[in-house]
Amino acid sequence: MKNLLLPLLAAASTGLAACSFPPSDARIGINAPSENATEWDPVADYMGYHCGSLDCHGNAARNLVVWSCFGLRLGDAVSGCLNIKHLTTTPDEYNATYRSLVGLEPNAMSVVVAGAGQDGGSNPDILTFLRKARGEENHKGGTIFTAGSEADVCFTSWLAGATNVTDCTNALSDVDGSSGL
Amino acid sequence: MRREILVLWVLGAAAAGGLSCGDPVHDAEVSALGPEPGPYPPGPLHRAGQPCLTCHGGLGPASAEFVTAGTVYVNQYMAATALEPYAPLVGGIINLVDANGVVATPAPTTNSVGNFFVTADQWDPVFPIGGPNASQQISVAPAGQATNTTPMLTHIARGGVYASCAYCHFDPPGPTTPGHVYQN
Repeated sequence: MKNLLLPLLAAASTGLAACSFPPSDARIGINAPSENATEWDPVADYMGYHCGSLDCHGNAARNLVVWSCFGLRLGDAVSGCLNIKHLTTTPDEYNATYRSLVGLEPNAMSVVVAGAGQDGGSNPDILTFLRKARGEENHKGGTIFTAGSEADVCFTSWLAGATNVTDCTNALSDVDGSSGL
Repeated sequence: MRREILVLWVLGAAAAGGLSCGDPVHDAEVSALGPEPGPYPPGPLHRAGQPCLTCHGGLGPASAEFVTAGTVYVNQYMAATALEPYAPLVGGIINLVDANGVVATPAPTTNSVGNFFVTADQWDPVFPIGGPNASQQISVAPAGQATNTTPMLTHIARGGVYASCAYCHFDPPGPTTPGHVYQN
C-alpha cells in the first residue's frame, strides 16, 4: 500500500504544479500582416464582396466576421456600397475585419508572417481561412478561388508583406473570371 | 418475457430515433414564421415579405421547392399617404444571372402582392447568383420597362433559406440589413 501512496502523491503534486495560471494581465502578441490602408484595404474590399454578404460572413455569429458596405455594417453606417468603384466601408469596419481575420488563428498567423520572405518560408496554407477559400477544406460557401489566382495572390501577397493591389482589384471585380465566381 | 421487453425497448429506441432526425434549427425557423397571417391562403400570394425558402428551400414543409424567391416593393420608404405600409411592385421584372452567366429565362415577375419565385424545375443555377459587374447583377425593373433596372450590387451566395430575399432584406434597415427590396 505504501508503495502505491508515494507515486500517487508525486503525481498529484506534479498535477498541481501544471495548474499554475499565467497572470491575468498577461497578453500574447500576434506577428500580423500590415493593417496599413494601402496594404489591407484592397484585401478587405475583396473579402467584403466575396465573403461578407449578409448570408455568409457578414454575420456577427461567425468565427470570421466581415464588416463592409457589401453587408454587415458597424455602428451607424447603414447605407450600402454605391458601386464597386465607390465603396463606403468605414475605417472602423476595415479595422474590425482585420482584427477578426488576424485573430482567428493567431499562432498560425504569426508563423506564416514570421516565415514570409525567408527561404522555405512558412506555407500560408496552414491558415484555415485560406484552405477554405481555396476549397481544400470543407467550406459552406464552396471554393472561392484557386491557388495562384489573382484573388489568391491578393491574400498571399498581403501575408508576405507587399499586397498586390492590382490583383486584389481585378479579383474584386472578377475581370478575368479567375476568382471562381 | 425478457424477449418481449427487449423487442419493446428496441421499438421504443427506433421511434425516438425517428423523431430526432429532424433539423432543429430548420424547425425553429419554420416555427418562428408563425401561422398564416392572411389574408391569402397558402399559394403565390401568401406571406409577402417573409423568407420564402425557409419552407420552400427543399427542407419542407412546403412541397414546392424554390431556387430563390422574395417580395419586391415600389419604394424604399413608406409613402405618407399610402394605405398599406409599403406598396408592392406589381409586374416587376427580376433579372437573375448565375455564376456561369446563365440567365433565368423567362425572367420571373412579381405578382399582385410583390411576390416572385423561381422553382427548382425552372432554373438550376450555379451559385452565387449575381455579381459586381453590370452584366452579372441581379436587378429589378418595373412592368414594361425592362431596361429601367435597379441593381443589387452584392450576390446571393448560396441556396436554401439563404436565397430568400428576406433572409438579408427585412425591415427596419440597420447594420444587419439594408431593409426590404424596392424598385425606386
